Amino acid sequence: MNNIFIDVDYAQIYKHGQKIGGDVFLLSRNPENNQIVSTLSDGLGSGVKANVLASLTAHMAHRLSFSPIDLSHSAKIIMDTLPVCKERKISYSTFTIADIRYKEDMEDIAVNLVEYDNPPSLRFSGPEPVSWERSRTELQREGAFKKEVIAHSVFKLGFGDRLVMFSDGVTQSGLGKSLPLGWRLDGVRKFISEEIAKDEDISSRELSRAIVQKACSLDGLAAKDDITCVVVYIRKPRRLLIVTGPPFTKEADEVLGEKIKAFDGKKIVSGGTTAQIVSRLFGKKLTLDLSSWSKDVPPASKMEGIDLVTEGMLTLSRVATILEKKINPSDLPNDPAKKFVEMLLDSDQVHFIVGTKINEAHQDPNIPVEIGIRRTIIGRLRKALEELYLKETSQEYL
Amino acid sequence: MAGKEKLRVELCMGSSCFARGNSTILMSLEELVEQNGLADRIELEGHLCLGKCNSGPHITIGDEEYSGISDPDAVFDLIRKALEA
Repeated sequence: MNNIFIDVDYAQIYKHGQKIGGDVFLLSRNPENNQIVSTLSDGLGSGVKANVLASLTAHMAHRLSFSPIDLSHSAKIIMDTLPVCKERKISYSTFTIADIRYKEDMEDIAVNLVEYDNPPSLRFSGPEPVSWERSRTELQREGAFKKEVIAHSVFKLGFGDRLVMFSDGVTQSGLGKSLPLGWRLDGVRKFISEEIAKDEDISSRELSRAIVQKACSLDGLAAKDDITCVVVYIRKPRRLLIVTGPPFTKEADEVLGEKIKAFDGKKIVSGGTTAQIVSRLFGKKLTLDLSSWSKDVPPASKMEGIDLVTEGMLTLSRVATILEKKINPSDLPNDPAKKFVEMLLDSDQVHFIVGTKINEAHQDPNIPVEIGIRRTIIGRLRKALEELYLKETSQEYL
Repeated sequence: MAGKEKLRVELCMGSSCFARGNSTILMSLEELVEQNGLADRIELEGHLCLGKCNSGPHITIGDEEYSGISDPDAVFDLIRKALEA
């Protein structure tokens, strides 16, 4: 598993009255060579025409980024391909490409950033803004009103660093309404810095959302242009350990205890007998909490040092079903399965330690099929987490 | 009479007992306690697996242990008897 997690997300509000955006954002992860490419393109105007142009640009930029051609050369190819508007003598669409590469077990990641005519991107280390050098290449195209400038920079991002990219809908929000010259880059920078100061670990999803919502409110809640914001946040992965089932041999109990103690992250113990073993190993009291349970899910217990202690098979099987059906946790009854799902969704990497001892009473045909084979249920959980929620998972047997 | 001891009803909440009937029994007992205002007479307590899965669902009423009763009405009768005793 990787020691770094790159949290990339974006938020977008279309120009008031438009059903399609002239800002296009594309994101691809290529885990084989540890590369992430994020492209933001803003097509001239809004609506369908702008969307077609921006999509064309974004897709070209995206394709070229995954090719061996270097990024500034790719940018030139795109610029030469982009038509120049006959009336306005300016280019049809703008773009920002961030090509992010990392190595496993590396503490920082390399970013290759190419910017063309979007507002300059911003960097933050924690809440502090970071400025950096960009090299500029000028390009005079036929029929263009002025020389075009492509800004190119290469830099590293470490833990707690952020890169924020946005379209001019953000910087120009409030223009002529609440603010004479719009929000402007300085205003945006200050706002982001304050947002991060309020919550240092704010996710990319929440931060990008806060930025576009602020911009939209400056526009009087009727966006005057497409408003798009992309946030890249480098953080330690949020790890979750799930321990379920007693180890096959009693001797392995100690090993289980050591593994739980050594784990850096949140911990769930799922299984009554397993919980009793852990309770004995750690010398911590285990108390059953009858306050939250439902017809399908037995109550949880409480133990110091473990974030959630639940019953095993019935709870796990219910959790697997919830994940497979993509049920929103806020629509679930208040039982331990809900808490379990919430913890899973809040994590980036989930590790399972699966005990292989068999409870003979579970082989009784009179009890529900939900009490099936532990390994099958863990398989369902992992599949759903990886395929539907893009989480990393791993597993070991004891 | 003040200080009359509450009747303890302990249910096994292990997977097996829960699935074999203690889920329904707990729900019915909570209703029974609420509807008849028995909160000061009966104390409900859950347990993790007690290792008696084969004969579950497991329930202890006062000092008496019972196995294999999955009908809530039967449990009510036993509780009534224990309360009268």
